[in-house]
Amino acid sequence: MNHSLPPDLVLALRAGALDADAASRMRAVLRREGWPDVEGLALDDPSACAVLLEVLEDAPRSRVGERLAAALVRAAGEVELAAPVVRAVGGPVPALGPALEAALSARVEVVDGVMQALAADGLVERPLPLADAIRQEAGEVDVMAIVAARLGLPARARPRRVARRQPSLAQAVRASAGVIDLADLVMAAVAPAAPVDEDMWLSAMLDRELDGPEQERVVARLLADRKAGVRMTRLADAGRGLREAVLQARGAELQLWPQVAAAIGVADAEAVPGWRGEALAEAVRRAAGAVDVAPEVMAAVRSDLAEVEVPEPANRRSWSAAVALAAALLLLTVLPRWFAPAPEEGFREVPAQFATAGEVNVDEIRSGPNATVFVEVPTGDEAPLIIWVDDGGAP
Amino acid sequence: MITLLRRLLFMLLLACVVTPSLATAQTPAPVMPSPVPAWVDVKLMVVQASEQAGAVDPRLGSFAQTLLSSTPFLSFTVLAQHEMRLGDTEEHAVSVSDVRRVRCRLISHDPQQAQLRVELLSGDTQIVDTTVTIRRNKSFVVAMRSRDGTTLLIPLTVRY
Repeated sequence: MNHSLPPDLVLALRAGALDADAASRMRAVLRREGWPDVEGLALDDPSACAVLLEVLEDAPRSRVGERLAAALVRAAGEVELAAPVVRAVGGPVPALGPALEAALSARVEVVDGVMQALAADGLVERPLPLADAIRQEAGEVDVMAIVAARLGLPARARPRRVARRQPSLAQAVRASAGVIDLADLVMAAVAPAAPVDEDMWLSAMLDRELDGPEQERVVARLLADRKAGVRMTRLADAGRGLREAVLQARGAELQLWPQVAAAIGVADAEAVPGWRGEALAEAVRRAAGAVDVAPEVMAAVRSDLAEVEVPEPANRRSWSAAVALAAALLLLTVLPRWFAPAPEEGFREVPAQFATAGEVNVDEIRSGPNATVFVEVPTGDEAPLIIWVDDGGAP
Repeated sequence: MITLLRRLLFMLLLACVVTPSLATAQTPAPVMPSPVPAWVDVKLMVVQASEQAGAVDPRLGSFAQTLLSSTPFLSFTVLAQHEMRLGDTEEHAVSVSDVRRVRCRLISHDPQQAQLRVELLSGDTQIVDTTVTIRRNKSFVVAMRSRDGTTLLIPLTVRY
């Protein structure tokens, strides 16, 4: 604390009002401390008392600070601004600038009073142009007129003041942001939620456009509602038909991107920024390892080869040929019986294949108490029958 | 003389070869084994599927491409493979996770198709119980989605 006020005066200041006797004693104390113009202090005003107390307790005891505080206290009605300003007076007077700016952001309307007080006390040569500058910049923005124009209502009276020397703040914002159509945003905010077409969700699911909670919601519905599965199948059929129709009409490939790329000035339509094909190839090799395609190739090639006819032996049948023939007969007729496996031994490898729609049938299906099931029936030769099971949170 | 000897030797050899066949032919014809074996092999894979791009387990073999094109999953890891040999009315259970089991019961089979009952169990609690009739040597899939977000695909193949 930087003052030597008697305790009863401090209490009176904290109470927000000094009676005539206390005010007289207060002025005497301030006069003794070197405060100027103590007669003009509004010591019967609670706000002025609060500021005075704050100044006395916290403000630096510099000459400037005291004079400024006195000037501020005189400026009745703007006392909210006084405390932050006075706190800033620990340094030279120019430090008032940031403090005033901060204060102005909250209470612009008191600027004039403070400025006049500062100028009257000789602290500034002329009123700081901050408030005027703000007004000149912003002009007087008639929000209602803007809203009325947006809604097509008749405009009110023309704003009293407009920007004089500089474009208004609103104009600057418009110039920077361009035309913003608020109507859609407002209507989206105030309009009742449009009913969601459930087929739209199923279609989005089919196109793999959903993820996260949306996907979980649709999957849960599919699992719970068998009809939804049927609708989804119907949508898939419709999509397939549409694709086929489009392909028939436009050829095998729709090449729209080259025209679009040329139209928007893309030099190389096929170039993908950042794409490194060799990195992908290397990643595939790492994942797949060495792939030996020779057997498959040879199998394909052999199937196309013609059988080579082996000519009949030109040598004459002889004794040795008869023995050989007998041995061959022996091999063919007797040995297989000795070494043949039991009829049902061994396991015959059959390549696995998913059953098509006509090859599999779910005869019966039941789910547990919390579980849900959904049977996805194959729609083509490639798709498998899938019995989807949601365990319902079972452990 | 030599020619006669050769003929005799040839006839002897021929007799050795043909006689067992004739003897066999005189016995009652054996019953031909049925084209349908008495058992069916049920092969079951436990595959963890993910929607995140990643590796496709080569053990999936020909299943891989179909699963990629017909499910929303992009990566597959084979966690286990089981095979059970079942006769009609026989059943067997295998574990597919810590607490989950799959119990298969062969109800019947003929040259064309087999009827199989498949139960998915959590402990003793039944999650799903289904009976499927499927063409011989074909496969179908049970997809189990848990609340923790994991999905197990269980392709089942009936082979005989």
